[in-house]
Amino acid sequence: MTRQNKFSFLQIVSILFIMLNQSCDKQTDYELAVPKFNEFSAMSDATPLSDTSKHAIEGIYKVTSGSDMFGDTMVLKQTRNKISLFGIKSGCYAILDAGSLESQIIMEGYWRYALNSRTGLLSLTIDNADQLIKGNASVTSISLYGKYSNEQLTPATQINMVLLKKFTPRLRSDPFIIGAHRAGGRTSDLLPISENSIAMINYSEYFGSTGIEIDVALTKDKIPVLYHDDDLNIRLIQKGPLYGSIHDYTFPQLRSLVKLIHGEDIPSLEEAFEAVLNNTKLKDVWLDIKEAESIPIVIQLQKKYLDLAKKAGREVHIFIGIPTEEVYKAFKTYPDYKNVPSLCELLPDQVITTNSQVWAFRWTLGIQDQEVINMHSQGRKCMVWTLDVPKFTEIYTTWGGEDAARRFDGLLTNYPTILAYYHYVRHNF
Amino acid sequence: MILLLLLLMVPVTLYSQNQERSRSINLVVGGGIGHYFNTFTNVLDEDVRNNRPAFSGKLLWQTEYLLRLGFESGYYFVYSTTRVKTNSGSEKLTSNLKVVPIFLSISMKVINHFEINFGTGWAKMIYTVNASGSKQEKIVGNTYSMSNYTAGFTYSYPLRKNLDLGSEFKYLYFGKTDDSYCSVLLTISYKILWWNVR
Repeated sequence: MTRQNKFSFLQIVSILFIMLNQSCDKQTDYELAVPKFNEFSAMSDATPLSDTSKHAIEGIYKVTSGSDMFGDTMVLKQTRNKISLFGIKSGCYAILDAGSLESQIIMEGYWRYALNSRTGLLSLTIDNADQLIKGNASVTSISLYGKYSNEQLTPATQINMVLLKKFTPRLRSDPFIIGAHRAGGRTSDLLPISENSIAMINYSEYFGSTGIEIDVALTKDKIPVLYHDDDLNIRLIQKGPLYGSIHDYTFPQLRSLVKLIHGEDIPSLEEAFEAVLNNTKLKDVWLDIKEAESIPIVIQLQKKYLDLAKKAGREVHIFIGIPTEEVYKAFKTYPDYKNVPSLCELLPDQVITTNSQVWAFRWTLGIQDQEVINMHSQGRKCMVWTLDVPKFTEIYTTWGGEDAARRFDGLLTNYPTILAYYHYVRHNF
Repeated sequence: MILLLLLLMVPVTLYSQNQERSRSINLVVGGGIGHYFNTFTNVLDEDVRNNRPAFSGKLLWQTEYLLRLGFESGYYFVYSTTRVKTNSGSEKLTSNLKVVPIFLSISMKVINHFEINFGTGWAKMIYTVNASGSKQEKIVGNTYSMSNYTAGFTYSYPLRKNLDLGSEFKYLYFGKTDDSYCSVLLTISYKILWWNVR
């Protein structure tokens, strides 16, 4: 055997050893730790900021320092009990806690690029903020300064922002649907929460969402649950010895034997509706029906929760999604189907047949200008799915300009933070 | 990984040549025991039987060089489980997985009697799950894994001109389930056809 042979052989044996060693690792592909302020947090001494104060600082900000990281402008928006920032550079966003400390407003949290896995800590401060703390929305001169870091490092790099423009009343009343795919985004995008989970529904508004799309599958005991794929697989669930279709298992079995990637339970559709109504201000719920057989059961739940929403004074729309011919045929067999709120992804004629309130088509089909005008003239809304390319998100968001007949009523995306950015800036520039 | 391994083979191939200058078609069959590396998040090691029977078969074309090319398949009893961890403790769950791969295979003699083997391809994964304890509700099905590979080495000893006895260590990775598995097999290699090359 030559020396060359010996060398290569040893290399191969070493690689085999490494492969064996790696094989013992646990599943980690979908984990990206969210950085957290620990010992250097100032929030523990702060008073939580009121909703009116958060409302008062909302607007579009110019990034005067740190634009290489966050782009030239960012949108600052109250999202539930937090403040979110939406930018365009790699889909950057930040989710921050906010509080007041004497005459300062302080914000702390993490930033992230939606389009890749870069993340870090961010802290922002507004000095002399007495009027803003009181909730005075007429203050138009706001400067934020702070620091950010990469990963879990102590923030040390300067960021400064100044208010360019506050949100207009017209923007605040715009019913445009910022639709979040799979309740907020995909597990594969390394989000801290699993897709199609209750935790994701609760988190979705931090991404700027005003509506969600969720996938509805049916268990063996006919319970509609949220799950996207046809089968149980390690893309969506923690690794376990269960295989096959979700349809093979009862809901109690799934509940006790299966965990989503980040440890959450597979939720029932009822639990999802409860979360939407009780925990969020989401306005639109798009049910992506995976099995035609589930339609009568889902429609009953839809009716129940639309009634509950009405009683609670909530404006919530729940649409039965019609994504395939099979579901379309099954939907038409339901008595009085024309009065069931639905969203049809098929051809315009089929949208009319089902009397769907929304026509949602694949964005790659193009703008479909004339069909959109026709749909609007019939009182239907128009959306596209699932739009993840920032440039096209801008085109579709701004399409039609001031012409309401041509504008889209919403988009569905895996990156609602990017869509939120374009939505909030389009009215103001 | 496979690409890296193939690249590593290049210098060996260049520096080595089969002394016999013959070609042959070899059938290799083997049987033995396999070990599943338990990476389940909800199954304790004591609740998984991970040393199970393994069988393999290969049809290889021996070139006049040291490389052998062909197809391999097999039947691997990967694991079986008895219980899973749940929120309330643990629950009975019998489950097992068997795999039938269909791989393109490359083998190469590196020293006398000693070969390294690589393969990649498709695998049929046959599962049985019984979550209810009722035999009537046993779930039997199969799924397919497209990104799989194997690597290993074989020691073989000639018994006759066309018959070798050997042993093989084989590592297998199944992409669909992110499962790793290794096996030790007793193999018999038989030259079905052979001819000399000028």
